[in-house]
Amino acid sequence: MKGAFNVNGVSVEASFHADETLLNVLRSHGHTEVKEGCDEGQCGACVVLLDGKLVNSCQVLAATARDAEIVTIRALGNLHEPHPIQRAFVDAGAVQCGFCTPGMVLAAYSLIRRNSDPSEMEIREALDGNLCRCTGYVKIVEAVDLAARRMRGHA
Amino acid sequence: MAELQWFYPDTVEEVVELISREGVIPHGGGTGILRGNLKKIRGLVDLSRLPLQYHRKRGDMVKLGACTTFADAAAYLGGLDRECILAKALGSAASTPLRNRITMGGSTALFPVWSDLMGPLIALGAEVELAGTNSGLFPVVRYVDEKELRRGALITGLRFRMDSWTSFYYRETRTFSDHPAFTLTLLCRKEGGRIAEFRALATGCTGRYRRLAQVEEALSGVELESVDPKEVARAADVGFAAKKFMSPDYLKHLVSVQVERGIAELVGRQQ
Repeated sequence: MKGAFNVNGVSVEASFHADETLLNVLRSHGHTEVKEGCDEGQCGACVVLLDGKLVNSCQVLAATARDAEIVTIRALGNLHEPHPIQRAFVDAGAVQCGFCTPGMVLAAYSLIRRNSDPSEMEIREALDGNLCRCTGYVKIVEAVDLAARRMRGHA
Repeated sequence: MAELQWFYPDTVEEVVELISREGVIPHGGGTGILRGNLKKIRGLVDLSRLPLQYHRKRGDMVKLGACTTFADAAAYLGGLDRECILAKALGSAASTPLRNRITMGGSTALFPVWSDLMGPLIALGAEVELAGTNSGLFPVVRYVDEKELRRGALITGLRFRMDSWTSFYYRETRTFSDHPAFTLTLLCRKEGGRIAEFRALATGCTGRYRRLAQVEEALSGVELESVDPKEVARAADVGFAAKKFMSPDYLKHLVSVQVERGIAELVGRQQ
């Protein structure tokens, strides 16, 4: 089947199988920044914003996301112009192997959009769908807190 | 084998006609469908064009559309009443990105053994609104127990009375991201210094759910000060099939411990 997806503000025409997940469609159309981890909705490496909501793209059938607005980590920033959350992850030493980082940053972005001053508990709850195989959670939580403070202009 | 076919209807009537066909099922956007075998399904009916994502309260009756996600339902219900058992249960289910997809209707229809939804729904005496072969409002417990009621039926909504319960919800997991081995729902309505009504229900056990009738009877109508949580918890009789890493006896013991803690919390007893 065919469908159009609006990925990071760009319309993408895609052909895909009826039982294919959004994760597969995104990756097969060049969006390899969306990582494939567990493929079971447990690890959060594949999260994207789908019409503004954080979702596991491996748990979304692409056929249900046609014409939807999709935001991947690529829309936030890059090596030369990092998003404040990405900068905070670097500054806080929150990146180890880096595999979970796109998902962590997007989950943090989703949180800070809703809540500009999250508590540590709120940060931990917002990241409850993202696993770090390096177990570097303390630095990750510190990075999100740092990013929120910087985005409020307090650091 | 022919490729899976998708349908995008605009009305409930169209959905009802489509799901009457062999191998065609509704899909509200949740994640349960990916845990099944998609190869056995001939057609999927996308419900996103139907106005089934809503929540509203009229008088003390709350109604949630079938495509309302756990995240939206938890936020709405928590805003109405922080003690709402459904807000507690749905807010702790799965994970943030999954709660943004799992729907009330889909989770009711599938009732997975790890469901965080069904215990509170049954304990609250919720009703399910069906369209199709059996149209109308039915107690959720009937929908769960009667296979014939489910056949050819589309869940369009759920409703329950927002009574003044204080509540205790527990999900037994080894890690936060685990599916619960069982869930425990306790509801207590107090009047003055006594318990006017008590409801207790476990899921994940044999029979999928079990009402803890002896606990309910032991507590309903008694003075708060006379409650002995440990003694009452002994009456919690729940059977389990053996689960990975957990024997039935161990699970039964865990239920008893949590019933005791829940009662103590609800009657304001320090442990």
